[in-house]
Formats: sequence, structure tokens, C-alpha cells
Amino acid sequence: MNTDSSFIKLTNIGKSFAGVVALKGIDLEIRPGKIYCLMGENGCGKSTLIKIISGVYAPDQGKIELDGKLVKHMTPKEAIKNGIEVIYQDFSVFPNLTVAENISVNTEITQKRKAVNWKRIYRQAQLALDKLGITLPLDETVERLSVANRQLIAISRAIAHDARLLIMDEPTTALTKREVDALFAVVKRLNASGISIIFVSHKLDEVMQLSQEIVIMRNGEKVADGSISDFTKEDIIYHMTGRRLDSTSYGGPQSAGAKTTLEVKHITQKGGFTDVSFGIKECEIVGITGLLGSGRTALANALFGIHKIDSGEILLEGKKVKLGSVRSAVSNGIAYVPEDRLTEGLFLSQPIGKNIAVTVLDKISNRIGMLKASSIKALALQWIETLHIKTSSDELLAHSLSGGNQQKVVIAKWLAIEPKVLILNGPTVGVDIGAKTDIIEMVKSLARQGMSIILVSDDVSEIMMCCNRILLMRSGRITEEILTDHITEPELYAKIRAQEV
Amino acid sequence: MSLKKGKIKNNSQLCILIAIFFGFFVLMSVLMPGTFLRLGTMQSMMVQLPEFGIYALAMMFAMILGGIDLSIVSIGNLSSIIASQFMLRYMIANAGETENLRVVVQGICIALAVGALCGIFNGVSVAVVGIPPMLATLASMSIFNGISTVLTKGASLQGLPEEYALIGKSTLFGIIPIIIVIFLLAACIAYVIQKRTKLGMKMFLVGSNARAAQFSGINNHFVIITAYLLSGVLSSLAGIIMTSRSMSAKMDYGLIYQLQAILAVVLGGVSPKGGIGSVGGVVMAVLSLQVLSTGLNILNLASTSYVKNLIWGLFLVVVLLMNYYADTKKRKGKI
Repeated sequence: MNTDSSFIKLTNIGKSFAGVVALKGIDLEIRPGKIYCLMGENGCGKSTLIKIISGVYAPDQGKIELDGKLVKHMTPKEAIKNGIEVIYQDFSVFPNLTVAENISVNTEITQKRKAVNWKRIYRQAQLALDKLGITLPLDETVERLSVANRQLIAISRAIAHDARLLIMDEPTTALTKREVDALFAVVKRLNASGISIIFVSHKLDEVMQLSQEIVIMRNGEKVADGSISDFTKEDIIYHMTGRRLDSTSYGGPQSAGAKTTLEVKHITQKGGFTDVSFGIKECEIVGITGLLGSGRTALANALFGIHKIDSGEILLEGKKVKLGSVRSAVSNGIAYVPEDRLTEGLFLSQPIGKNIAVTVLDKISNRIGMLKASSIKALALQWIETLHIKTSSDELLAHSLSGGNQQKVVIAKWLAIEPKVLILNGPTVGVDIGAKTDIIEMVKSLARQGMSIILVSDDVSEIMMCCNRILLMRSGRITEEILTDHITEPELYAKIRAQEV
Repeated sequence: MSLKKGKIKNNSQLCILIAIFFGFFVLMSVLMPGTFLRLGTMQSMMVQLPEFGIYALAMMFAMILGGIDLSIVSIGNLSSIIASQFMLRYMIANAGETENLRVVVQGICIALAVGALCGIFNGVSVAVVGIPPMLATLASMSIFNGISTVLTKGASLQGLPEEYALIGKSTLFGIIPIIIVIFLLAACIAYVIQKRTKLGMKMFLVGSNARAAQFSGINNHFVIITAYLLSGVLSSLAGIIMTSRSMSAKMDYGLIYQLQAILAVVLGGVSPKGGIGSVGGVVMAVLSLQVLSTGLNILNLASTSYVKNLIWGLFLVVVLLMNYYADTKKRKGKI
């Protein structure tokens, strides 16, 4: 196949929903055997564009050409027939079926087979796995596999019938670094065999590592595209957000006289962490990093009283405290933005206002527990303004917000208690770059005003940008304490990765 | 534009229910102008409605939490049986007009206390022990029924003090039955608790996402136990009204209300997943069902309760479909 001729060519594509313009004048060319990265903030039109390519939506204007031929009505069926496959974030695998069944199910259905030929199913599945160069037990049920392996199954299924373009929507969100590397190896292998890839991601490092071409979108328009070598990280962020990111490190006003707010001495929680000791001062941002399962989340949960510690002591402003419940932590001025904002942080079916007011209900209600709707509203409006939460009303459901704004709501509810210690666990995971910048800036400015902040994260650049000190955790222990000034980003990255065995 | 969507959603469901209520009312009035639109018919509806309505409110407290309470009618019967046994034991036979009033008041207090205790029992098994609400209250239903059977040997208790009948018989201004006033008061109190207190707000939040509630410092155990306690107290109130109307207590009175209460609550827009719902919606659903059932009775279409159940069930399906389509239409419009 000639690599100069395009596989798909979109010209002047436009799409609106109920009068709201989602895409305008998009020109895009996908050539065979290239890895494209599609970047942009939430709501910039990425998913709409993918859905137009895969035939889910019909564009209002513009034309789609496949192999140089104009396609009038692109349907999902047509797209699949032409080898366009999409792997969505949830992979859509059947957890109760075996690996072989999962991989072969689509082909079986599209070929309208009535009877099941197990031999053929296993042969097809093995063939697909061979193409990816991976081995998986074919008769294992999928629910017993890791997230990464489920994803590989989704990919195998997609390429089981001759795919020419594989679209992957945020494929690395739930993977460890090691698994990401394995995934990229698979992607590169597929790419070498001539399959084009469109890779949608928020993670700049991954994009720089994997893709050859980049397409950046903002507000429904394509703002930049070209070879990845022509772009620096700062350029990409600038195109995505329309502003330059301040990537200077925090440094922080650290005077010798600053008081220690929180100190833990030899705390241990069975199955969580062992003999952890550290302290944090006013105005200080301490980063805790390490791999998944290193005990970082268990430690954060323990400091917030979700699970009790088995031994050791916790001192708050020099006084020994017992954190037996969330309420005891909150009354001691400790706040926690949890790892999983959807299940632990938010009440999705409730209005934004109530989501923010939840932590201060005692303060805003009267003696007999009566609440005024107006006091909730006032509180909500104040925080919506302070944290620039993008919403048209405090009465909208939390569900309606984008990831970044949802995270700001979670942060707002904790700032409302005016905490002394703020623990943030992965505060920018799944958040678009604009909101990420906002959150990082906010964390720094809170620390400048005197708050002690513990930032649990595996985002190296975020840690380098925010923290004074970094605690490296491994198998439940703090293995190293590093001053941010004494290390570079690649060095820290290497240190974390070195723990993987 | 999207500003109003959240608001409209709640209000539109309430509007649908109000429209349905008036629709039924007008329909029945047109079909049977002579029989339906009479004071007697209105009064009989106002007498029939409260016990069912209060059971529905009791169910609502459990369902707002994302739970369910299968023991409400059993609580109603158990509490009125215990209260009746107390009254039968301490009442003065052949007494004057108000001599037994004290015993009756004490009996009512005992019934409410028993309801509260049963509710706490449910709340503890759900919140502290961690049994799924459906199983916990299924078990407690059997337990409460069992206690009732042991206490009465299955027989109905009769010969209650005359004063007790006053609750079911009394009227306001000679027209409005006092029990409908009790129902409306209970609804108002439920409304205030749910929408105007921090406890009520916590109930909605726990129902919406119990884990996030825990991570926000809410005492989930306390909130859940209180909700089931209120459910138990309301159930015993419904039981009191039921026994007062029939002047007897028995372990299997009103069992049909158990499932009808779930129907009314879901119809009233309470999400079975928890966290969503309003007292207004539930009250409108109860009123609609009552008009429907009375109308069918008069029309003689529903000579047996089975036909009524069939039609109520169809009605539920229709309303759920309407809500579903209203919802998907909105979503399509959005993106």
C-alpha cells in the first residue's frame, strides 16, 4: 500500500447538537501505518470526532473519503467493514466469558454463524494474540484477568478481523507504568504491520513517547497538527489551553521557624504500611509517591481516619491525636481529596451546592438542625467563584460537570472547613490540562497561605512542580526522602520505575 | 440553558403526577357525575387514604437511602397488637365516656415506641451489621409477624376502649376526617425533615453515595438508623389508624399495603437507587391511586382487588415509561 495516499480523509467536517457547535471545519487525514495522537481538553470535540470517524454520528457538513472514495452514509457497520475499530475506555469485554470467546465473539456474530465451532473460536483467538505477540490463557474467564490484560483482549478482538485503523480512547488511564510500556510495545508492533493508530490521551509524556503525528483540538476546532518532533511539551499545552503553563517549582516560603503541623511516628497498619515516620510544616508541600500498591493510598486513608492504625502515634501541632474515624480527622482540621473522585468524592445525583456544603452542615444549620437553602446557595456560589468552577448554576447535578470541575467541587468542600492539613490523592488524574493547571496553582497558593499539603501522586511532573520534599514509598515503607531541589524529573522517574521488579 | 434542566426534571415529574391526579379526578367526575362528585365519596376516600399514605411515607424514608423496608405493615400490626393488649388489660370495663382516655393515650404512645424500636432494629441490621436492606427487612418482617402471632395466637383482638375509635371516626368541622389531617401533618413533617434539616440532607447524600458520605465525615450509621426509626414510627402510626378504624388488631391486617407502598413511592418519583425523591411526589401518587381505586370501585369494574392491582400495576408501568421517555428525550437533546 502506498503510504502517501490517505486512508481516511475528512474535509471541512462540522457537527452541532441542538444548536451547540461541537465541531467546525475539521480537516483531517489519516495515512496508513502512522500513529496519531488526538489531544485536547474535555469538551473540545475529541469524542465527537472519533464518533464521526467510526460512523456513530453523521456530520452536518463536510465530506468523508475512504481510500479516496467519497462515503455518503458512514455507519458503524460500514466503518467496521472498512477496518475502523474503536477501543473505548471501558473496553466492553464480557467478564463472564473466556478469553477465546471474548476475542472471537465479534467475528462469530458478523459472520452470522449459528452453530459454535470451538476449534475455530480458539484458532481465531490464538491468531489474534499472535499478531500482538502476547500470550494469554485462552480458557481463562476474563474477570480473573488484570485491567491491562482485559485491554489487550479488547485490542485482540478489534484486530481479529482485519483492522486498518485502531482508535484508542484514553487507553492508559487505569494502567501501571509497566503495563503502559507493554501496551505501547503492542501498539508499535501493530503499527509496524501497517495498522494506523489514533491515540486519545491526556498524558503528555505518553504522547511524546508514542505518537508520530499529533492533532490538537480546542473548542471544536483543530488548532494545530503536524509531526510530534516539531512540538515541545509547552507548545502542546499552549495549543490545548490557549495559555502558557507556569512550570516553575514551588520552592515555598520555608523559614526555620515554621511550626510542624502534622507528625507521624512509626505508624504501622497491617497489610497497608510499616513503620512510617515523617513530619510536615506550615507552608510545606510534601509529595508521597510510589507505585500502585506501595502503600501510599493506605497511608493517606489512615491519616484521614478511614482505617485505624495498629501502632505508632500521630501528632497534630505537637498534641497526640487518635484518628479513629473521618469525623475525628475532620474535627482535627485534616481534609482529604480521595483517589477516586466518582465513588469516594462526589454525590453525582445531587446538586453541586449540596456536594460542597456536605462538610459544613453543622456550621450552616441552626441549633435544632434546620437548614436554609439560601445558606447552602451562598456557600456554593462563593466556592464556585473562588475556584472558577465552570457551571451555570449551583443547582445543577454534580454529574453534569467535567472531570476537572468535579475535582474542584471535591476540593471546595474541603477548603470550606478551612483545614490545617490537606491531603490530595491523585488530584489531577483524569482532569484536563486547563483544570490541572488551575489545581496545581491553587495547591501552591494554599501552601503559601500556610496550609500543610500532602500530595499523593504518581505524576512526576506534578510532584516536581509542587513539592518541597518527596517521600518515596515501596512495599509499605518510606524508602527515601528527597528534596525536590536535589533531583530532576527524569531522575525521579527512574527512581520510581526502579522499584518495579 | 442547562441551568434549568436539573430543576425542571424534578418539577416535571411532580407536574406529571399532578396532571394525572386531576386527569383521573376529572375523568371520574365526567364518567359518574352523580356518584363520584359527592361529599360521601370524597369522605370515604379521605378515610381510606391515610393508612396507605402513611405506609408510603414510611417506605419512602427507607428508599431515599437506596434501601427498602419490607417490614412496615408488620411493624404497624405488631405495634398496634402490643398497644391493644395493653389497653385491653388496663381499660376499665363499662366505664364512662372519657374514663379510658388515659389508657388510650398511653396505648398510642406504646405503639409509637414499639414502632421506633422495630425501626431501630432494622436500622442496626442494615447499617451496623451490614445486611442488605431487602434481606434485613425480610427477616425482620418474619420476626415481627412471628411475635404478633405468638402474642395473639393468630386471633384478632377486639373490645378495645370506645375512646380509641375516636381517632378513626372524628371529623374536623363535621366534614373532614381527622385521619386525613393526621396524614397531611405526617407528610408535612416528613417534608420538613427531608428538605429543611441537615439530617434530611444527609439522608439524601447517603442514599446517593454512601461511600462518599463516609469520606465526607457523615456518620452513616446514625443517618441510616434514624431513617429506619422514622419509618418504624410512621408504620406504627398507620397501624394505629388501621386498628382504630376497625376497632380490632390482628397480625395480618393490611398486608397488601406492603407492596402498594413500594408502588406509590416509585410512582412518586423516588429513585429505587436512592438519593432522589420528594414528599410532594409521593403524596400526589397516593392521591392518584386513591382516586383511581375509588373510581374503579364505583364503576364496579373492580369488584375484586385483583382487578384493582392489575390496573395499578399497569398505571405504574405507564408512568415509568413516561418518565423514561421524558428522560431519554432530554438526553438526546443534550448531546
